[in-house]
Amino acid sequence: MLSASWLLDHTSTAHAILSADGTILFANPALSSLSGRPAASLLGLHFQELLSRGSRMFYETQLASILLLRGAIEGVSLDVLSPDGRLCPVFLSAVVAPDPDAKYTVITLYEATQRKHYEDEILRSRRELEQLAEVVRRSSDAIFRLSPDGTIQSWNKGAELIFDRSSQQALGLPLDAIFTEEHQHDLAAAVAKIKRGQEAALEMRALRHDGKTVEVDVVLTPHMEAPGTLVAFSAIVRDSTSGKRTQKALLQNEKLASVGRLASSIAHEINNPLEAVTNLLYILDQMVADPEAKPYVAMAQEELARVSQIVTHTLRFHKQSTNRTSLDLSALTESVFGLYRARLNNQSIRAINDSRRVSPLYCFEGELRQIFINLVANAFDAMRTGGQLTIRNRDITLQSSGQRGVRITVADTGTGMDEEARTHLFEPFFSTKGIGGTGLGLWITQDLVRKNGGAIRIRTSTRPPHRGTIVTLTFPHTAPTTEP
Amino acid sequence: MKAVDRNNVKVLGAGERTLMFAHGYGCDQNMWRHVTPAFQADYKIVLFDYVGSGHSDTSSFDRTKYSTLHGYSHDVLDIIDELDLKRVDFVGHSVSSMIGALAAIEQPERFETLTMIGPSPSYINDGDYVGGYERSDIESLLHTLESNHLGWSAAMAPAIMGNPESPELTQELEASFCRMDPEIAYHFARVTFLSDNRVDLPRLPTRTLILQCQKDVIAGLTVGEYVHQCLPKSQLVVMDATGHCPHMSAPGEVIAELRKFL
Repeated sequence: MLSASWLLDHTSTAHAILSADGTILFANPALSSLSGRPAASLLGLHFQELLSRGSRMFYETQLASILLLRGAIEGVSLDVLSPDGRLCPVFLSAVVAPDPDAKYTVITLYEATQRKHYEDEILRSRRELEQLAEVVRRSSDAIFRLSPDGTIQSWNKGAELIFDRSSQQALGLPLDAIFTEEHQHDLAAAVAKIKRGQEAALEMRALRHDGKTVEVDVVLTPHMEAPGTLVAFSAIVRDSTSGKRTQKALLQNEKLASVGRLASSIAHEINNPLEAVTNLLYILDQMVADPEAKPYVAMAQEELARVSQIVTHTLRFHKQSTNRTSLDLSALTESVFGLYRARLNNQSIRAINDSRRVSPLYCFEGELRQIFINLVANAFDAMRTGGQLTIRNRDITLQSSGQRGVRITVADTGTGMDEEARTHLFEPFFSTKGIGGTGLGLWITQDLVRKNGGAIRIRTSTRPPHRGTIVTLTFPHTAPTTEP
Repeated sequence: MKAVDRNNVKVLGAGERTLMFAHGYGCDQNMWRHVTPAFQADYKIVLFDYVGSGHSDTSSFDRTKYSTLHGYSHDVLDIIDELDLKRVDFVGHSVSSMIGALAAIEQPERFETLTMIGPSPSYINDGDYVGGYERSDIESLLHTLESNHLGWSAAMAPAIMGNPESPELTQELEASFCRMDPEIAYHFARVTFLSDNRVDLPRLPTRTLILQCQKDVIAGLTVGEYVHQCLPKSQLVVMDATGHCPHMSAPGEVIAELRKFL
């Protein structure tokens, strides 16, 4: 009763014997029910005809050739398509059984609907993981994994850029090898924190492979497993240079604003007694008859007029900084020269205002005035033994953007700046003027130029005959209508 | 990396003329093992694996480069260059027929003849053109591929355990036949079955033999006839063999036709 044929008739696994070209020569009842076809109709069909079209293509392009070459294959995933359109996922195993007469292929099919569901789920989560991994791989922040002892175990693209190290150069390095020595103590403390399961945030300098250093923000996050064992930790490192720069700029603006407010309030306070003294001097002028004393009074009046002018300018500077106006650069040049006229004359400095072909610049007038004053003051200080100061204003087309704009050139024939001064000239509190200089002039100037959308460039030489300094400012013309 | 390493190039035999065999999608150079012995005495034989197939260098895979068949045809030209082959008789199976055609269009002087076994310039039906498949069929194939290469079954995952270069490990060697890198296999399938190179066919100047099987469900007779019509210098031979891999199932017939043509 119990025999191989009884087994074949009653097993839930589908079996078939195929000829060399895939024709079904024998099929058990399980194949009939799996494929949704009467047993008799199976014989003579090609096995491929039981499959969905995708599975059939797969069978023809890959399975058939592998079977011919390897002689057997196991666990291939295919879809059987019933005549009523129902798809049944199966796993197929096949073996080529050589017979004296011909080659036969014995196939076995297991129904795999449930397992296909699991598989779809696994593949879906795998794809999600891959997408997430891709986000980490391509992030511009450095994201890497470390073993509990702090050895680098993974390295992404951001890490390559920030630390200038390929993954081959970084993997296996201890964490402290990629930061400057000054932070080693902080780093050790942070790692100790990590081991207690706490996150740690640090500001450090990353040590690049090329020897340079970069300011970075670092966050270390522990990954623990029960019972509270550290299995790994991750580091996210962000280049903070640009963030710090923004912070510095904000601080500068804040400083400038308060300097402006202070100057303005002082000017305002001075203005009242100044008016009183001006009036008193006027009266005194009327009353003095002594020809020797008369010129002194006149000189006092002249000097006081200058004080008055400075006060007025200072007041205007603060007041006008809030709105852009259309500024005549030639008039501004004259006005600044006027402010310095006496000193320029005393020091035998010839001042030239070359303002042909220049359109009005839409800008913060007070700020442009301060820029001019700072640059003229520097030029004046550089020409202790006389020389020539030229301010040239021209309409140009900006090379960088093709926009229309103006170029302002402030050129002196002074001492020029040495290498040391050139390197530090835009740094705050750097001064070549000894006790008299604040070291803020060019620093503030650069800030004001940028605030008005411009650029500043300085060329300088200490060697005759081209000794001197040329400061070139360029500003784009912005239409008044673009202002909010 | 040199192309001969990248594409696991093998050179056999000796002769004035060079026969270059290019495998189709789903297998590797081993698929020619029943054909090459017949030509080894009279021809220099060049075999290779496309990147991602067989024992090619998978690290050379570049998604963008291989996103069209041109990436593969450039590899063919690289091999011809590196081996300093003057003119080759190129035999391509399935997708390699089109890869060979693209290479011959680009550098016709390097190709004496072209033999296409089961070629198709496009598998997807389009208006009057009958490629044999709808886009949904290709999606279904890709789904099956994914399941077999990446999923639970992973039947196509490399089964090789020992050293594939050791001939004594015959069984293990056989188990490694037609292995493909899973991710690349999926990519290669997309390029193979979704590419449309119909416009390229009339530009092929090389003398071409089209070997067409009866009952080839991948590239049917109408596709073979279409290719024949588009190629000015072609001859179409419909063989008695069935299926998509006659050089494996009926190598004798393929050898005979190839000899006649060459």
